[in-house]
Amino acid sequence: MKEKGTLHPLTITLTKAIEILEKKGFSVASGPELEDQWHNFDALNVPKDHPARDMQDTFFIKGHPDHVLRTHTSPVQIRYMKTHTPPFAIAVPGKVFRNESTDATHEMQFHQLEGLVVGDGVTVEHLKGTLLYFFRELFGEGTDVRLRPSFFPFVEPGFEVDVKIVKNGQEKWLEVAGAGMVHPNVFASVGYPKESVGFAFGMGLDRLANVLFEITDVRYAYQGDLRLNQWK
Amino acid sequence: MKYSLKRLQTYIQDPLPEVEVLKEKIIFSAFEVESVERVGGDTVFDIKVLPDRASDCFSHRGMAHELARICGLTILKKEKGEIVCDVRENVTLLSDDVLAYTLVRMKTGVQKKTPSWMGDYLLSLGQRSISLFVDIANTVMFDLGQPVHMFDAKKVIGSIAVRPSVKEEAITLLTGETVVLPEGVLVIADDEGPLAIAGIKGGKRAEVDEHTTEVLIEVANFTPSRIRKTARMLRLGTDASKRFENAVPLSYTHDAISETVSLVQTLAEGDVVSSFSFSEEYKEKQISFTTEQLARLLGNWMTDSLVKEILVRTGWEYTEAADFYTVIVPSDRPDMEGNHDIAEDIGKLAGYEYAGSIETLPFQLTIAHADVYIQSQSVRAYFIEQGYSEVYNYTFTKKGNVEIAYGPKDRSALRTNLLDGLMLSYEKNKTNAPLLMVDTVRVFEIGTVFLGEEEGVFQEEVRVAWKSEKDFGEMKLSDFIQQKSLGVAPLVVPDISKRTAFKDWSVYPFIVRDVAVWVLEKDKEDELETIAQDFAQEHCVIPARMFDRFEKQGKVSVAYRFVFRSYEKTLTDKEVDTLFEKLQKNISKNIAFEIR
Repeated sequence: MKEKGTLHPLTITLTKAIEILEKKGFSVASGPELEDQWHNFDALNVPKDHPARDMQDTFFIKGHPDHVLRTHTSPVQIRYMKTHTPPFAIAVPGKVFRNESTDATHEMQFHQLEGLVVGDGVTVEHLKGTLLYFFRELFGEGTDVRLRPSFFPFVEPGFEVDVKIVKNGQEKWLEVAGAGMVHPNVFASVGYPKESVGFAFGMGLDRLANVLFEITDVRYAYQGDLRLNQWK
Repeated sequence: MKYSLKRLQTYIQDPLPEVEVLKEKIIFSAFEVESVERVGGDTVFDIKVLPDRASDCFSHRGMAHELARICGLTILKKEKGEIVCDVRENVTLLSDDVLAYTLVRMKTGVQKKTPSWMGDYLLSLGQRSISLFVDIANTVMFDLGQPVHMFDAKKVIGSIAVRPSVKEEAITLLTGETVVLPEGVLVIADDEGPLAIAGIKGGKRAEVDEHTTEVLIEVANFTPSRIRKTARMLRLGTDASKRFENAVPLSYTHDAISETVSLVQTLAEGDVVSSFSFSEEYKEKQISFTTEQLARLLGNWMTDSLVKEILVRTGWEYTEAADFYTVIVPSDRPDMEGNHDIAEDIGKLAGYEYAGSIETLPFQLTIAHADVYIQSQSVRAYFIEQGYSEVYNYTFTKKGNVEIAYGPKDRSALRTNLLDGLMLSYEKNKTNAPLLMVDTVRVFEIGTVFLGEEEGVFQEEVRVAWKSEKDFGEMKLSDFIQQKSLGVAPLVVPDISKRTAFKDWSVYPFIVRDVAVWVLEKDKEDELETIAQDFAQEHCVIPARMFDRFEKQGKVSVAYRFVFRSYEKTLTDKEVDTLFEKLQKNISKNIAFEIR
């Protein structure tokens, strides 16, 4: 009998994350890795010639100034909203690309997991609750979350999300995600009514996996090295 | 951006809280604090101000107002200076991108040395003291967030014009380099040519220095996107351009000119001779909202009494009528456009620790995952069952049909297939087989490939690729599902609550040693296993692996593999042999075992 193979830690982390979110009604949505600027920026309230565009280092496509490698999975949210009506909850995993120098905590390609919930009655309290539920299921009892004010062009109010992880009796707060209430301009881009309300959150899946499994170098994930697959 | 605590305090009546307390307050109510350092007799906060608050908070005054708001302190009322001048300075404005332009001519006398408070202030922000007038201009910019430029009036030929450059006009900048401008760059010019690149950097020709006896003080405002485009094109980012591209409030012009004139009067016996002033009209904005609208975004913890309490703390001008509030948007808050922005400010002052946490969504939902996810999980389940292990490789390759601009030199194309990367992965893992404790390597990957572009439409495809000793292949994911008739199969993953911490690997090469042993007495295999694992625990990087076992004529033969590797250096054969001898002695001294 053949011994079973091993899964990549990113797959393990994503599968577990989706299992957790499914219980709250989240469906997985997907989209292209090579995007056009409208979906990746303009529709998300990141206008041209605005410093907000500098918040992410973008890979442009040679000969096609209108196209980029997506810098986040948020463009998938735009595509989903253009073809669906609320209420809904989607989880959006996928590979993203940033033009940054690589080191132990930075790679040019990595994976994100984003969430988007749109529907009447949804508030910051549901955002907080969903995040608390998610991280508690992932990291165990004693886990807590807190929201710190921050800014992203596609949400307002916007937050950084810190999670408190308890390990061996020790507590540590880590920044793990960005989140916020979907900006009215984003709803306008997809033709949703003005009174629409929803929340979104996004995190680096690699970062999540590295915190979960204590992996020391983010570059290991893409070197095709099976020594990384330490969990059966 | 750096902020001097001493300088911030000068804008606030009550003392700011102690450094650690202040840091916490900023982090939880306003901005990320990158660092706090003691510099000289001052404390310098490096605060991350994001684009939404760059207009008001890229200045000590603006930041001080925000700190006062979040700490509940009173702002110090400062007298507003007025410049009285009847003589008009001749200035021509030839661009719609000039939103405001003030030019004040002052005759000056003896220039005092830059006062120590000013020198210390600039130093704490990482700026050098250059000469009095330059230091004054920088001080006002860091204080108020409004860039100020000074020209030596005696070096200016004729009168000032703000206009687009013509092709190939040259300017030697303050820092010495000469730039040949393309046409259409906004410049401040005199009769002879450009004196400064508007909003970005000044030129050497009319540079102020210790011999200057007449200054032209310029406080202006330009269309943010114009400045940003020019700064990027010329690769010239400065403290001034950074502020202009984030929109300096029009209302800042007046105070900046007042403060500059006042400092020149005090420190250089300055007298205003003539002035020019133009400004676009600032259109006041109002936002009306109800508590219900805020609660719709923030949640029911946002009650009317909380809104009332917080509104007072914002320092905004507002009116209450029936059930709604109308706020006059402060002139330095271009980011405030609607209820959502009001909610942001009120929410963070109120404190999100008071917001509730609701874990169930207020509607019914049905799961409908994207096909590619369902297919990926099914294919993974299939390959795991077949003994294949999963890898992820890089999207960037040397050759491909789609290229990225300004990419890394040898990896600027997007992969057109998975097998190229997978083959390399296979070879690497084959070499490491002993460390992986497998006899043979089987790898697979699911990922996206980029086939090319046709008429502006890019073709990308999700594929699966696999490689083992005897087999390899690559296929579109959906085709693979069809070919193997794979149904929907959930992917079973390890229980993460029982996870072990990642064990890093050494960069040094490993050495392998095998031992084969006849087990002469029944039921002694467990004992051999214990000896082997105890040894491996102490001397090896991974557990001992039994890779062979057979029975012959009633005797059982068992073979173990040991992998030696150091985290500090390359082990020598001799070192390993010495260790291994210990193991062999340990085994052979037991009469139940005979080393083959």
